[in-house]
Amino acid sequence: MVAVSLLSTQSVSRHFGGLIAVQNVDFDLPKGEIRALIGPNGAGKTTFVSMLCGRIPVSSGRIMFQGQDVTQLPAHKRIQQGMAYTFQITSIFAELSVYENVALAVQPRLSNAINKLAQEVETALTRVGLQAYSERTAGDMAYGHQRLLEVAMGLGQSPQLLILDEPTQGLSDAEVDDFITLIKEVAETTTVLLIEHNINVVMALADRITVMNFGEIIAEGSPEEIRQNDAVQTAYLGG
Amino acid sequence: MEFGPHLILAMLEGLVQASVLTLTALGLSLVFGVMRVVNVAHGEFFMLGAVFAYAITDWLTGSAAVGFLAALIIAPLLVAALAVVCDRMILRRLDYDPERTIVATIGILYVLQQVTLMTYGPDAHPVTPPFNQRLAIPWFEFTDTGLEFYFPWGLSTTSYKLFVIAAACVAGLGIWILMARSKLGLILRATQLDRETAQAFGIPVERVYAFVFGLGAAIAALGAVLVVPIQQAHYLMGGDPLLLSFIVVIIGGLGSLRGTVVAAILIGMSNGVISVFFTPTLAKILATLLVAFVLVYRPAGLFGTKVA
Amino acid sequence: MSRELSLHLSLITLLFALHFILPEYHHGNLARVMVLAVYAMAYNVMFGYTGLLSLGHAMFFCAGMYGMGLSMRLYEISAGPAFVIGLGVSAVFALLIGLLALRTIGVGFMIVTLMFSQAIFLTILYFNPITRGDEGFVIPQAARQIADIDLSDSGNRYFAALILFSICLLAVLKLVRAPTGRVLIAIRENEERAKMLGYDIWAHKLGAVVMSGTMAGAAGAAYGLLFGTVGASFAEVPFSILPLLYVLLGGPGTVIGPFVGTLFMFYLRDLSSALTDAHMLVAGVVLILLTLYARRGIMGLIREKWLKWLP
Repeated sequence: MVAVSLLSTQSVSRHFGGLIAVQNVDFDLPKGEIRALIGPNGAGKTTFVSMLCGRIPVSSGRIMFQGQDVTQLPAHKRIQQGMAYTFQITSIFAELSVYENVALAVQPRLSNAINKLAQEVETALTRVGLQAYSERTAGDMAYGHQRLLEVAMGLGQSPQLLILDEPTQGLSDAEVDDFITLIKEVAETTTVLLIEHNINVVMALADRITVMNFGEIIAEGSPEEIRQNDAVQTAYLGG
Repeated sequence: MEFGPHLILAMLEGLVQASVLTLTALGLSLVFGVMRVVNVAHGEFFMLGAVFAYAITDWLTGSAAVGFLAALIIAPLLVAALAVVCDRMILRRLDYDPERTIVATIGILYVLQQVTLMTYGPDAHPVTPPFNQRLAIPWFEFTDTGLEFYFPWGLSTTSYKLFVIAAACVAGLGIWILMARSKLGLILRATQLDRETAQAFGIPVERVYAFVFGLGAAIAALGAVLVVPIQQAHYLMGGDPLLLSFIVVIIGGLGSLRGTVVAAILIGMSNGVISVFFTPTLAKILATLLVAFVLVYRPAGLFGTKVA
Repeated sequence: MSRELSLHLSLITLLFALHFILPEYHHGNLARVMVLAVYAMAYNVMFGYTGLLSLGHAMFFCAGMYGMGLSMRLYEISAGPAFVIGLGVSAVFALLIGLLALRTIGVGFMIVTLMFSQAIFLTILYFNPITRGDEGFVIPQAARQIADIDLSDSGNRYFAALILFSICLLAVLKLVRAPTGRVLIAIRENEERAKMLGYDIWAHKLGAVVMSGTMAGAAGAAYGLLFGTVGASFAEVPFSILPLLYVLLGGPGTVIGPFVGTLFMFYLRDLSSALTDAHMLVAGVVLILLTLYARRGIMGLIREKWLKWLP
């Protein structure tokens, strides 16, 4: 079976003045895959992903999503097309309740069935295990739970592509294990792009891994291939 | 009066206004540049400079020159002290949050203005200038015998007005020396660039802020003391300077002192000229719309950094 | 019926009942308060719910007031259609201002709205022959009639104000409980996050500005019609600061807050004006105290401590 490309980029670059953050990246993500994007700090991962979801514009290149050129499309329209993004630094509505947070995520796709809102919010919260916290003020929760709330909001959107930016940062070991289980289940219906530093998580989840350094892709392949790749070793361990 | 002399007169008047405006706007710009807050009560500090000058000259009976000199020194200091109190008691407690500061300074504006109304009263009071020699200005015309100079009736200025221009230049120079050449100026610029790093280097940021806020108010008050012999002190006189200072600082670029000076001269002059040839109201309409459109389309102004 | 709705309907009923009880002085005051509360509610939609702090709302109030007033004065249009014209003018004006001002954010937005409002005030003064400038003009009693109901009669005036107030109160309640209202709050709380949930931020903000401006214009047109005066003082800076004050005091982001704040400040100033001419002094002091200590306002505090369900 030929894998359908969900998201791809052609020669995407981004520079800030003289600094080149991302350089000529060709990237392809087939539907249904769990892809991990790894690399040392400053490799350009978050910049690249921010261009994918539209938070920052590309300096040059093309981005295709579901067969359409979305390079010029503003962020909110890409989200409407089926992308979901969770922030590297937790960005929830801290003063609102957990319920309200997820309701805001779910609301846009329920325009004709708004009475289903409560049900959908409940479903999303249950999947991440936060259903008991529905009435809590989001900002009052422990950091790990706030990260889970972000994931719940992503799930609440029922996206085609879920982009997770360092989701397990700050989570305890037990929480990380739960997270792995959750994402495996999510991936049955959603394509997942995961920026991660935690190698265990990457190895447990990823179907394929893309490695970036200095704004370019230096390696791409299955977990085994990457584990044995010299260039990757050098990038991480400094040769 | 013909057009030529009339224009010269308008430009001279404009230059006087520009001088005062430069000082007032520098005060506002300094505060925004270092502290990143917009002080809506700035015009009231200006007004208080004038009112204190009146009070001081009124109290010190005797030669007008001595009274004026005392006012020139004491009034800005009094206003500075008041400003420091506002900073410590209010602005610091708000942690200099931009939006909350603006709202709080609006409150300060009304408190200062209305207390002045209650004590000083609703009337305008004049202050005698220390000297006021009328100086006729020559104009030229081409006749059969060549270039001839004469003194058109009505084309004159006073020695005091020239003094104002000179004093503003001296004060401006003083501020420049302070900012660019002194250790204090270095501390101020460091705090402006990066508050946290400045703190890490042992600079007492909160005291710097109090100082800057006081200094900004003092410079405005100084401008008011200079202008009050020409203009009269009135409790509502802070409104126009505030508006014009805003215009200058935004067009010149928030945070750039050089931009402020350039914009103040341009706007003071053109405001003066338009006011003479058209009406002051039209000049103000054009000025406010100019600020609005600059902010909408070119928020960096001429020289400065972006407004967040 | 939900308790939210019954709370707000009770307020309306209370105001209705007060017509029969209040002595004339307070009766007239309350009519004025209700119209000003509409102005404050309009401000709340932009500031309390969407997080856009404007310093120039007087321009929207005046767009309605002068749209209505000038139609009547210059073209002898009758009161009813003139009111509608006032509404139309303020809606279009709010759209224009929104398109321009929303290109700025934060402090820039505050200053831009302040500047546009000042320009409007100065323009009213400049076209003195038409607008009668600072002095303003009076709308004669004979003209202030809709369908043969004389609006200068204190009873009719009170009910007209109550009707306008009730419509706007319930409209705001509906808005904040609707999905759109939730989005406005989200924009206020965390704009970037709201954008990344797929919401068109700019369109929502523009909608809030237009709704807010039109409602403020309705208050302006109503004020002119009911109290018979149209004047430039309603375009000056203090009149832009007042709704900010009313909303901050009453509780930003609550539906009833603006009314509470308006009522409170109106009487506070009324009382203090017996002592001194400096009536904005109270406004200044209250603003400072609110910013320092009580940013949630009266109803905000009540909501936080006791009535968590308060919209």
